[in-house]
Amino acid sequence: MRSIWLGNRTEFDFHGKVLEGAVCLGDIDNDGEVELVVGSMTGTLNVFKGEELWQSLSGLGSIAAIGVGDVMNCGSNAVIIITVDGICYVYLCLNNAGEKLQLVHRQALPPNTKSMVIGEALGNGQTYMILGTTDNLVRLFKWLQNPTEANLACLHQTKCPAEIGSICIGKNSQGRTTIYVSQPSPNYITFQYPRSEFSGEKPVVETQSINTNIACNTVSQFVASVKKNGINVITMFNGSVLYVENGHDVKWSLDLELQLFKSAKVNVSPKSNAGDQQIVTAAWSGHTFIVNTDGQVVQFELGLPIIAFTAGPYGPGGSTAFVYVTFENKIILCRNVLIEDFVLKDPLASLATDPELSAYSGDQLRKLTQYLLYDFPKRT
Amino acid sequence: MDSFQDAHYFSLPSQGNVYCYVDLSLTSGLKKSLFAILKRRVFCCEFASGANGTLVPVIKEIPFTYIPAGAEIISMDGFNKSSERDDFLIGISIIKEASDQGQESFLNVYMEQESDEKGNLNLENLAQNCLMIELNFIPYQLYHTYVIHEDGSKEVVWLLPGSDLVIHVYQEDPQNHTYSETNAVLFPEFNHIEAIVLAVDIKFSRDLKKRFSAIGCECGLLKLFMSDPISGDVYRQLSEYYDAPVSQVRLFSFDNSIETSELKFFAGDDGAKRLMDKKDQEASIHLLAVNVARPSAVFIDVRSNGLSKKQLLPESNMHDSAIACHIADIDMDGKPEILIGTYLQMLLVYKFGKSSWELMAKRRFSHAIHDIDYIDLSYNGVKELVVCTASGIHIYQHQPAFVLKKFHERLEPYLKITNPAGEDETTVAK
Repeated sequence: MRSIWLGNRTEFDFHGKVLEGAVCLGDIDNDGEVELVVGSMTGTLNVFKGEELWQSLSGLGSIAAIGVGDVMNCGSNAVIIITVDGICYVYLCLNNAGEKLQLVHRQALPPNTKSMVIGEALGNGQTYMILGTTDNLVRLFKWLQNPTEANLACLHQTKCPAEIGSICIGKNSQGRTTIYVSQPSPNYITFQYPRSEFSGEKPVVETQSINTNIACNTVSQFVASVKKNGINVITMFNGSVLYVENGHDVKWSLDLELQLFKSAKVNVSPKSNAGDQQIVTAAWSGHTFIVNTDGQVVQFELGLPIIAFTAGPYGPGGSTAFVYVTFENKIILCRNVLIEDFVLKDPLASLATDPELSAYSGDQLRKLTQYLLYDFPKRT
Repeated sequence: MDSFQDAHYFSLPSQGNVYCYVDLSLTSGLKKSLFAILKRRVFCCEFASGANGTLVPVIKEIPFTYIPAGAEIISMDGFNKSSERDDFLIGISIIKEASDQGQESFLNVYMEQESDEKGNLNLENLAQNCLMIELNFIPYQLYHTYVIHEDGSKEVVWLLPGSDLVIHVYQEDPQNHTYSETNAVLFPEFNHIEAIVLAVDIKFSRDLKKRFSAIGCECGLLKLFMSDPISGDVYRQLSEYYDAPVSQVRLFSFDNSIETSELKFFAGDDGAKRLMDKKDQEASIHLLAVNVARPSAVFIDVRSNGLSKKQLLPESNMHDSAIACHIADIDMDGKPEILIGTYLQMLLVYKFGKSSWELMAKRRFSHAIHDIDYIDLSYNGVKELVVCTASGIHIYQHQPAFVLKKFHERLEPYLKITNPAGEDETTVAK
């Protein structure tokens, strides 16, 4: 397998253990630049901006999940922090003039949160929060506000049959907003909420099954709407990667032979087919695989075991960064990840198909190439 | 450097050193590169061709025998003994801590005992067949060159500078089929050096009448000898002293000799003759001396100027010790560039401008650079840049678009030369 080295790194000191969901990339101060938020099991929350630590909060309890998004539907992003025992903190940058995060809301929610996603879950332009818990429940929340009080209200709750790996919001092949909840393969669950929470309609909850014999009885990660709507990629804890079209059909699958615990959607190859996206998936050993929509893989080896991982745009330019939280109290950001070609192209192959050069055999072309590139300019 | 793109990275389980890289050129034109790490392991890198005109980098470990547990590899070298077939010899010098009397060191020479009829290189086979020579000194760079006999024949020998201030010469004993240190004075210029030699480079004039030998020493001594390879007379000896070790020496020239073998294979008999018409006479020889603390220097035309005319390479001492170098035409303009790798992770590329060497590009790596090479691993006529660092091997490929542009730019003038009558080009190719 082709492998690469990511040399453009930024390292931050960070003490304490980090849970899988407590690493988040998002624009917390609404300046268009993406920051990194990391929370530890001992209640420390650090915000990193560019090359430096921007803000540090402490005493928040065991942070289970962090999300950044406009949950209040007020036009500016909030940071939502949920602890293992269910305390939810909402932090906001009150104005944009370099102001730090301030606590605006604190509320007790059901405990055992495992994963959080913030986004347009209903497809109606409003932002919602979805929480998945270790006891297999998926809950939909909305920020409701009146002049005297405001809180996060649970609009809907469903119990899944098995362990939840990850939750993501995507669109199905008809373009309908769908919530995908990963389950042990080959199953997953889709939620389609009614467009308005007050319509009285019930959400459509379906257990979907992929047509494959690749199974994994532990958690898997779901990445929806890769490249276009209706195309999903599932990465499993046993190292399998499935590329699923139309909800059920496996177009290709890979076995990466490592325990893949976290996956994300990135765009590291902007020069390739426009709008094409890639999946990055990481194992606890620090091995990271970048998979494109054709199933071509490029590997990166961090060389250190990791406890948490995420990937996405970071910093002023918005170039892709891979974020690794190590066991050695360090956060390593590999920045400006760019992969021009997933497979190495042989220039000789395109010369061999050139009709102008059809008279030459492969060996002759190789020697001619060498002569023209290295010896021919010596004549002058 | 802009035309390069990342092709592959191989993470080494432990680091190598500046003497641990070897490239092997097979008679078929196929290239392989070998790199050793201190912890007794040797890896081989080559490219395989995949489906639809793609290249797949392949790295495998070669299990070299007779490297005892606890030993460390110090240096490695290899060459092809024959010019017609693949008959390779690989030498690995190792050092081993012995419990009672300090340390032991050995030179292991690997060769294929019965190379097959076709003369194909089988590295696994070669790695199993070892001849161990015990050394009573700590070895440094393992180097090979040839001695020229009176009948004009060439014989390849190993040179191994040691901690006993001697450059040892190992020669094959054809009767017994073994290698041993020779007592004959094959390189009289290396007598009485009285310094630890870190780097050796030897180059012959085109007519093989002159031998240029350069050495860089730990004490800061740089020496250049000009001698007669047959009689052994040293007729010129030049020295320069630095206050810091000379880590690399390299003799090179801007010559017009054609690397590509068998021009008529693709250009036809007449075309090859026309291409050879403009072959120039011999170019002057320059010496690059890389210094760990002072700016590295190029001594221009050492044959006529000796060491008197030197040019310093700007910025070459600004990234900690410069420890690696390579000379290759990486921008495909027919003239070589100097590449210098430093301990502080910088690769510096120098190009000869109007009258002096100028810094053309630099690139930072994540670890100290141990070796640099520019070699056609992909077996398609285009060379790749290999940079060995303390953590792994980086391979860079020229962007295919850049290569194709250069190719097509030069194809037309080339066809005009080989085929001036404007015949159908197929007749030329055949």
